[in-house]
Amino acid sequence: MSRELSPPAPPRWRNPRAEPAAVRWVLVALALAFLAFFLLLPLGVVFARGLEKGLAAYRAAVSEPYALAAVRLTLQVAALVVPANLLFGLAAAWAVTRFEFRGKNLLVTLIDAPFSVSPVIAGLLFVLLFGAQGLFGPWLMERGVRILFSLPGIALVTAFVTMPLVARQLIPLMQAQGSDEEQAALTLGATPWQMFLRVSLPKVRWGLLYGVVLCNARAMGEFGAVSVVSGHIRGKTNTLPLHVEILYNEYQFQAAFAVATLLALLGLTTLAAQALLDWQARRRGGAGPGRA
Amino acid sequence: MSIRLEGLAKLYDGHPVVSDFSLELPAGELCVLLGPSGSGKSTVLRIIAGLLAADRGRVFLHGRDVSELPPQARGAGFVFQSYALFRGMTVAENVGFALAVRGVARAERRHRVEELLERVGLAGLGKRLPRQLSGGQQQRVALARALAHRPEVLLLDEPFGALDARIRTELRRSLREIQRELGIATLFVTHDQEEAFALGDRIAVMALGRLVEVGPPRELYLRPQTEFVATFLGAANLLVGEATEQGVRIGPVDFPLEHRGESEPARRRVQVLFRPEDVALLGEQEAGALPVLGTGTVESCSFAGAFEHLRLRLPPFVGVRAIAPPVPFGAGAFAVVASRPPHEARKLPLAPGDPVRVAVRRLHALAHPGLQFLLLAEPSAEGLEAVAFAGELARRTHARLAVILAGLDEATARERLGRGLGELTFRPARGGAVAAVPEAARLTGPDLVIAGAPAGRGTPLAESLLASGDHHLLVVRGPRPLPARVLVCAAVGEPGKEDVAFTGRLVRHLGAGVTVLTVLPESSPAVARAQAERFLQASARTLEPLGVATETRLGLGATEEEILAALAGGHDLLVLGVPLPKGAGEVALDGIAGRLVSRTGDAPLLVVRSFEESP
Repeated sequence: MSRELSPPAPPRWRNPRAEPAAVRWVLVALALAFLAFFLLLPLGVVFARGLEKGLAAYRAAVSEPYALAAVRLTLQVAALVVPANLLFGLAAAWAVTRFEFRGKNLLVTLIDAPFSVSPVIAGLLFVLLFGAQGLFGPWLMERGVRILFSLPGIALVTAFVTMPLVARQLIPLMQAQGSDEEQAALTLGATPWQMFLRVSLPKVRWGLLYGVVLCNARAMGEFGAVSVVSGHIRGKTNTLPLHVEILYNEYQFQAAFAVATLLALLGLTTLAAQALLDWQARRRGGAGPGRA
Repeated sequence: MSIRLEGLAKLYDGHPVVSDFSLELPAGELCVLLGPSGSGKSTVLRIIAGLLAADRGRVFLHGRDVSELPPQARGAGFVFQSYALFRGMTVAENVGFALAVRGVARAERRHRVEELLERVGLAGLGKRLPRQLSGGQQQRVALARALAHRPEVLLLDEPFGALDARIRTELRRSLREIQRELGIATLFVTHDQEEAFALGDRIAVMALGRLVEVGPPRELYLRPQTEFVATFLGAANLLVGEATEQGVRIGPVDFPLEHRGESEPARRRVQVLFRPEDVALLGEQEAGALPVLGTGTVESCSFAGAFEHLRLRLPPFVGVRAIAPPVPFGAGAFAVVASRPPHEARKLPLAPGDPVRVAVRRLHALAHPGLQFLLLAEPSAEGLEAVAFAGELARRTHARLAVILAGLDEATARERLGRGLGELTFRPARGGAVAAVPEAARLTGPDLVIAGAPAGRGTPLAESLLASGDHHLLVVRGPRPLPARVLVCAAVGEPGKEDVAFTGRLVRHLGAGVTVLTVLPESSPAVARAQAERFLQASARTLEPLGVATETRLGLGATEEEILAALAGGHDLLVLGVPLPKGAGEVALDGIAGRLVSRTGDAPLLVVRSFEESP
């Protein structure tokens, strides 16, 4: 009896840096389960509850005058806050990355402060400043300027809590890009303003848009700080998140969830815009801007 | 003149990065600004372009003083090492940028852009984005962009630094062609000497923010005037020999010199340079007309295409100090680098360990022998003693001497200094004696600052003088002749090497003997003692070839007391090694050094600074 000698099996090389397959599967599964439990499930619940009484009830809930007023106010706040923070973010990032000055580190730390302060405290701060017993309150009241319980107050606290978002996007980006292109523009005869418009701004365009998108999402969704300064006046000083809360507290669950879907949709749109920007930026090469 | 720079100076955080920099470029010249990294060459370029403001000095472009103008009004073309292309614009938009911001009509712009792209060899690539091009192509775009507005001068800041060797060569050629065609005055910054040789009509060599030498590449390579240029441009054998009637004596051999430079008769020491290709290697029996330096052994040899490079080891000659190639501390020999073409290598094949006779085909003498002193001349008793001491020391060591006149008039100073000094310059002290030292030190780059101070009270003066530059310090405290027995208190290891080496450089001309003393605590382990012994032996091996009689002593006990006891035993110059950071900056002589300054009476004291990295 003779046995055929099988050729030796080729050695199986495993990438020495890759984890075993089992580890990889467990990690992926864990991440997905987490995501499903904390994100997809609640989102599904919001939409399901919002639509549980049918489309007509849903439409009625979101087109009811108070809901519409809340939408309008929310959009107004965003329209005020986003451009303000865009300007602030650009100015702060420019100052931090282009100049050397005393207190630069302090400025960088302070830009982050609104993130480390609870939004409720932020709201209270503004009450202390502009309230009837506040620092500027009486002086402003005498002149008929109303800050609290109205649009200016809501916009101010929202601007405060969203302040870091644009600057935080731009600072690392501008640090990484350096200022060689700006210097080149100057030697080529560009005025400082031409340099800014034609070179600096396009360079950070995607980072800037990304910051704006984040800022917008947070501005529309902010609850805590706004809740402190708004006064919850229906049809007047209720933003979308506050309106949802009021409906919920009044046991109008279906209406609450229907309005909540609006907020959720805003969030999802933001997410989509973010993904699109990411994809665009990658396609155009790193964090590069698109063609003019 | 297309570019004229007058006395540019720039400080960063109080540290000079460019000092007293002047240079002129005629129309159409390509001048390479060459220097090691950190020598301030890019700073000079940015000052010309207006991207940095100079603290002092003026910039003239085509006779127009542009010192106060912003970059956009200077009309210089600038090429960056990072290319600095506008990443969001196409190649054509990049090249046309300078025209666009000037409001040039679209049609004319397009025409000019096409012409430029063709000139740099990128015709047809105008629609690409920069990142779709290779590094070499991107730098071509940057060059075209810098030329678009027909600048009067072109400035390039290490433009090919990030590219590989083959593409560099290609780009160099196209740059040279374009530059010749346009006849535009060009200043090209690089740290790559090969690039400097390949491109420059002239090379300006920079070190520590100063212009060291400027001249045609050939002239700088064959006949450098300074030690720095001799060793920075190409490989060099640089020795200090003794001047004779006909030439120079190195050890037992007399070499004729083809060109003595501007030598003055009083000079007896001379730095001589021979390049590796000036070395002729002879077999043991081979006869030849060339002067033979001696018989050495081959230490290593390597093949590099057209040449074979060898490193040879020769026994030391008494009285000859090697500057380059550097000799390992305590090696007791000196090294010669040689290179030879293959046909010579075939005639006399050599391997490591083989004996070989080393002859020299050509020698070049450098302009000055090396040491540079800066003297603070004051009318106090100790100040006058310092002047006399410095004069004697400079005469014996053939050093160049710069004198700061602080309250002393030039005639008196000259009289105290005595005759027979090589190079002597005077400068008045503006704004106080000590305050004048930093600027004078910046301008003259002294090895040693000499000043007088009353016995026991020299510490603050020593601190401020050491803080004002990179130099060592000699404090004279009373009427003393030049030393006959020198006590070197050296730390063991790297820091101690500079103490011993600088003392050797100075003392070898005085005929003085040296005692190298190292003190260890009595409780030191045997390992530390053995290390100290090895260091002391290496010190002796370093000093003795220079003709310096050397004793070594290992003291055990309290450092201060041991040093004072040794000093009392007949030594008349104390050398203290003090570890200090490189460059000017705050200095505190506390601890033992400070106490010794106040406890050593009126003997002259030499403070040798050892740097963190050995120089």
